[in-house]
Amino acid sequence: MRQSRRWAFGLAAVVALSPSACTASHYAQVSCEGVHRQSIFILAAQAVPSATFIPCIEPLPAGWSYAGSDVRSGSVRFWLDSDRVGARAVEVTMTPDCDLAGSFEVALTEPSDLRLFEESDAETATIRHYVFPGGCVTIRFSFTRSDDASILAEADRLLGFTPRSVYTEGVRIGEGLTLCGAGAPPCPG
Amino acid sequence: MSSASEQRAAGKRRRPSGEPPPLPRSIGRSGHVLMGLTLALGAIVILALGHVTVGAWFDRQNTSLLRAVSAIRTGWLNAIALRIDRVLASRATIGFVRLGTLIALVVFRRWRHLLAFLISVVAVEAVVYELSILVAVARPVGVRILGSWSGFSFPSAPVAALTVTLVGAAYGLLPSGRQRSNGMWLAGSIIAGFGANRLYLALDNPTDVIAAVILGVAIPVVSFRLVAPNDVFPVTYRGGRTAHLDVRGRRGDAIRAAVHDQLGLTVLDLRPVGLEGSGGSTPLRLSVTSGVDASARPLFAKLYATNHVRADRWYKLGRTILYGSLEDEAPFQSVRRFVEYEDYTLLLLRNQGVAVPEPFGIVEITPEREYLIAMEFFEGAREIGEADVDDGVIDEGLTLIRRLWDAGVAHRDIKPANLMVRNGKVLLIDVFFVQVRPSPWRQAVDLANMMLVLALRSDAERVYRAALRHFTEDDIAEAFAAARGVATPTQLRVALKRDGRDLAGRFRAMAPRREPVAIQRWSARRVSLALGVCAGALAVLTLVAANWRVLL
Repeated sequence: MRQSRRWAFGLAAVVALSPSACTASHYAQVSCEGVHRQSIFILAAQAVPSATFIPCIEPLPAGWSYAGSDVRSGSVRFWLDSDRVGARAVEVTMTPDCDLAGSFEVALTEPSDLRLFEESDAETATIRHYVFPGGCVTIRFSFTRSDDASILAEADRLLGFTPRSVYTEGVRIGEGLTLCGAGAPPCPG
Repeated sequence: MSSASEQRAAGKRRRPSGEPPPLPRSIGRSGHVLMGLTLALGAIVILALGHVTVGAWFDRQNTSLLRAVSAIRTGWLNAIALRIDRVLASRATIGFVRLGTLIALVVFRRWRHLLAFLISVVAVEAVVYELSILVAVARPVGVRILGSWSGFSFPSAPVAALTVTLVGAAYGLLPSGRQRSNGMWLAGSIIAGFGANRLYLALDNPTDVIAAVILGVAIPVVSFRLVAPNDVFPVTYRGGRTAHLDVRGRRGDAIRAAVHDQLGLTVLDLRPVGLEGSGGSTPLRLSVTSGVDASARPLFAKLYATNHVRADRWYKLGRTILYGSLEDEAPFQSVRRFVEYEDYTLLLLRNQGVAVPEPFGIVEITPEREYLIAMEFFEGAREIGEADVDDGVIDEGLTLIRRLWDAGVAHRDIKPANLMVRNGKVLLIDVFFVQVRPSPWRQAVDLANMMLVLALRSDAERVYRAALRHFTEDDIAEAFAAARGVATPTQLRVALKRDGRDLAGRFRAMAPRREPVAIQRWSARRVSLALGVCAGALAVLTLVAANWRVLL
């Protein structure tokens, strides 16, 4: 009896643990609210040390949901699902730089250190690039303006940016350590 | 009934309350140490999570150590370290070693080790992932990171993946002892080198590497100890069955002490015997002396453990699915029931005048987990497959079956290995499968198998003529109509094939014609069991397929 329970437990453990093992790229939400408390932004800052801004997600309106993220050296990626346009409706990728060929600059309504570019030849998706010192954030909407202009306008407001200095200061004050990269003193090694 | 003084004089001793049994159940010293380490790791995580100050303290300690290491960085060393990391942290390398281990385990049909390895890998990958999300530790700060990384830092996923793979491979493939010890040292050196390399590159914090090694070692050690314990399923390349218990070392000492205390016999020698003919227990030959008789005499003993109960359960489940409820397929629920039943069948058959070994008693080795049943050893007896079989022996064998029929029991495992001959007398051993009031089919099968065994060492015509003195022609016709497929034990089937003569065909030709007895029994239980097993197998396959990328 004890043996059969052990087998059942083992199998149950495998079953219970498997879904997480299958989705090994999902981390906590990258919400712009309370950003200084989220380790994932420090991780993002480490992934692209040159980036002076770190992307985040503004509070999501109804119908949108955070679906996952993948942070690794050289890139930060996260994506959102929509109940109207489907899974991975918005995919955000940050890299140290990006290819702007075929893109045209779009004027931003508010002055900032960010510059916005949009790819002109995308037919089935809308692709935009936010360029700033040391980094580039590419947003890929799985739909175009002609599909649904109101959704694009809504999705357009989902992305926020936080200056890297917020995290650098957080690490300095909280732990007395240096978050290596842009705006920080040179790290040893 | 013997008095207390007689018991003491015989050397018997009752184990007082509180005294450990002869072989206490244990996962071993290393198992306890690693369990302790795992608990320590859990405590560290809880502390780090619950108290930000403790987490910050860890960060500062980690950084100061990494800074010290980074002071020795040089260009050429960096290039080597990056190359080492690229190779050992790569999923391709890990996948290659895992795939190699899986293939080797399948080739050597080491299914339990395969299961333990799969559980270890999936559990480590899953625990590392969940822990990384829960604790959410960023990569090292305050020092420049060299090389590629992915995700949170604690515990180090590449170090954990390599550790569980190497430790699992060592446990699954290397025989216990010097080979495994050497393998573990090699694995330990590779892991230590890899961990140091990760620290040199500042890809992980020291605590990340330590936690990963603890998980990568503790989980496979516990998994292998539970699923494929070494003393029950030793890794061996010498061939033979692996379900036999190792009776050397602690277990051997425990058997000696237990036989002395519980039977009043001093064990002078203890060795496995006839392992190739036994899969349901570990048969032993003991050389013993007693308080009243100083001369050594042999005893036969069978050691039963929980794995034998499990094997019995699977065997009966398999039979039920393949044939339906041919006879009583209710599995035994404990090892204690095993030995109690064998003791009972020995006494029952002796009472019926069947020549079976005299039982000497049951010995408890580990309560509810391991028991030994001691019985008479037929010294000077030869297995019937090697003995001279004359008319007297043929008559003895057939008389034995007649006696079983008259007593209303079936042996259910009549084969050369279970029939001994001494001074022209046929002795029956291994009565574990005996069934009281069996089905007529099973009784008929006993007769057919006995006739086949006897004919192997003589000829069908002689055996048939002798059988007619004890059975009718219809009995014999029924026996050979029943004895098909599953009814013939493997050893007997092999012997018949090697013999080359179609003995069963010749018996059938001599007996009146009779249609084969159907052995398929259909019931709702059989169908639902078969469907359940298929669904379970499908679920496991789906799980493995779904986790293929994690495994490799």
